[in-house]
Amino acid sequence: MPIEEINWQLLMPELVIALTLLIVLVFDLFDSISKKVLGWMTIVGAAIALWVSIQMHLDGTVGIQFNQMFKVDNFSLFFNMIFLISTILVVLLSMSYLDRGDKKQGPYYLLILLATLGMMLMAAGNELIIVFLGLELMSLSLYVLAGYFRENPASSEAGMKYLLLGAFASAFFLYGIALIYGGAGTTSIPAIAEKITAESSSPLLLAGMFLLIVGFGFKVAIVPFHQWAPDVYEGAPTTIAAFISAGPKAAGFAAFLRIFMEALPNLQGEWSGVLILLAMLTMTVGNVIAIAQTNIKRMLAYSSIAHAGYVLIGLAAANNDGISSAMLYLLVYCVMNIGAFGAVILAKTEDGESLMISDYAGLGTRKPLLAMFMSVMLLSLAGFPPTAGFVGKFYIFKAAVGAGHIWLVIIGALNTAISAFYYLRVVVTMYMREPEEELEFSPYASTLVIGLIIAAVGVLLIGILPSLMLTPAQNSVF
Amino acid sequence: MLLEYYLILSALLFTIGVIGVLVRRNAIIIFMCIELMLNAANLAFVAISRNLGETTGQVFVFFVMAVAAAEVAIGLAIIVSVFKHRQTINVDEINSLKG
Repeated sequence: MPIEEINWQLLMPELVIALTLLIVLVFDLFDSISKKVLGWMTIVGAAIALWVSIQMHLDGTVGIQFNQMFKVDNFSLFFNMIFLISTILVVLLSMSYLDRGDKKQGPYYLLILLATLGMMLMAAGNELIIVFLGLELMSLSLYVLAGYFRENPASSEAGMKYLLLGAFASAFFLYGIALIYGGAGTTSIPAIAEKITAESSSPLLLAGMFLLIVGFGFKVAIVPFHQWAPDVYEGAPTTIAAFISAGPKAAGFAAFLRIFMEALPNLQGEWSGVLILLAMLTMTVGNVIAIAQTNIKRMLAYSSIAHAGYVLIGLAAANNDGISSAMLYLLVYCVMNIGAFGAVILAKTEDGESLMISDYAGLGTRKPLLAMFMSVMLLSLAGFPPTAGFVGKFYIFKAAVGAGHIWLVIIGALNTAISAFYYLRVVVTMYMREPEEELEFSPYASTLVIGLIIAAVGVLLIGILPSLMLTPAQNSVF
Repeated sequence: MLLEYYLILSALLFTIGVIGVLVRRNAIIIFMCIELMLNAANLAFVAISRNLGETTGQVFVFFVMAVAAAEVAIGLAIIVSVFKHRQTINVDEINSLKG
């Protein structure tokens, strides 16, 4: 077999991230270098990769590399943008957060970059091996990050829970791949699609497909596979909770879309019903349990479960509109969810973070900037116009109506109403309730405020000019 | 060679692994059961690969073995750090995160 010429230009975003993580790894060895520099290196590397991805997306670059294993197209490039924006925002939030306890910073940024690289591989995988390796690269880095504050028992516990359930899910995912390999005789995504048209669906394929749904369900926290999410978000460092809730969820959905829409479209009759059921269950359970939460990180965890349900509506619609609206929603969701966690990090008192929703009472007058950021993010999560959350939900529901899933849209709309209750409760607590005890809040860190300004501007910009991101998303359907 | 026998054996191993994860409470035993599930998948890959007369599945197994080794390295480190805090690795007793 001749060795094919490698087109390095197609791999630029991945190569830039790989190079950045090597640079961070080496520079971490020098004690004379301030560890803050490593954070800036990470941001610069991710920003270059983001810029390259955007350029390639604008040029419409398409190509398959490494013996049909690695596919660069607008779909993977759009997801690269989501991952890299999430990474940049999370690193901006992390820089002041890590200063608090004099934590080791080098490995932290290294692991974030490794996780980002894993996500990019997942979105670009044209072969189930690559998707699996990307998933594991991402997950293994995240297990360590969730348990990163070793001296904090809650963080270690979160790491262990994430590890056990995540590895359990990976095993399901892997067994699903094995059965699909048995049923289709290949692990290449386009080849599977061809094989399944030729033959009728075998029990092996169906079993494999359901195992894949279970595996993805764990990774993106779909009910009934969501139990790990609240515990991990609560125990993990808040910056990492923001990271886990954003990029990896988008990466899980990227592979989910790629495998189900591209490799298994001919089994749509079997999976679309399951996805509709899971979407309804996920939205309802996530939103209803979120109402009962008193800890803001747990509330955001259940809210992120509910948002996975909204994205599933787009998947269940299973047409071009559904795919593009799910992609737009994931982008919007990542920005606003990281923003909401960023506002939680900003609300820091002398004895640590104030995580109880009741602690936020009276912030509207005492900390107007913080209250404003928090309100913008929560209103966007609830889906009020003119924020990005509204745009995202609107196009998701529109796609589902176009596909004829009226009931799904009705349940989604009802859930949006339920979710408004608990998001607005926080806003009301901030602006209308007097604090029971006077909490001493620490001064703002500048990098944190920069990150929040970027997130807030992004949320409002997409909300006012939806076509800015909608058109690229529509151009990105494979 | 009958592929069915191998697939049944691998499905049995996988099921034993799943039941082990759900029933056992010791974090290390849970971890071993997850390894059993991964190896069940490996067995299926190798059997199917041999049946088809091509090597994709066997290459896949190498990757899975490497990934499993990395997972063990990270997993044991995290379990040790939990043990340092609580002197136990019984997952029922490690439940400070609840809501």
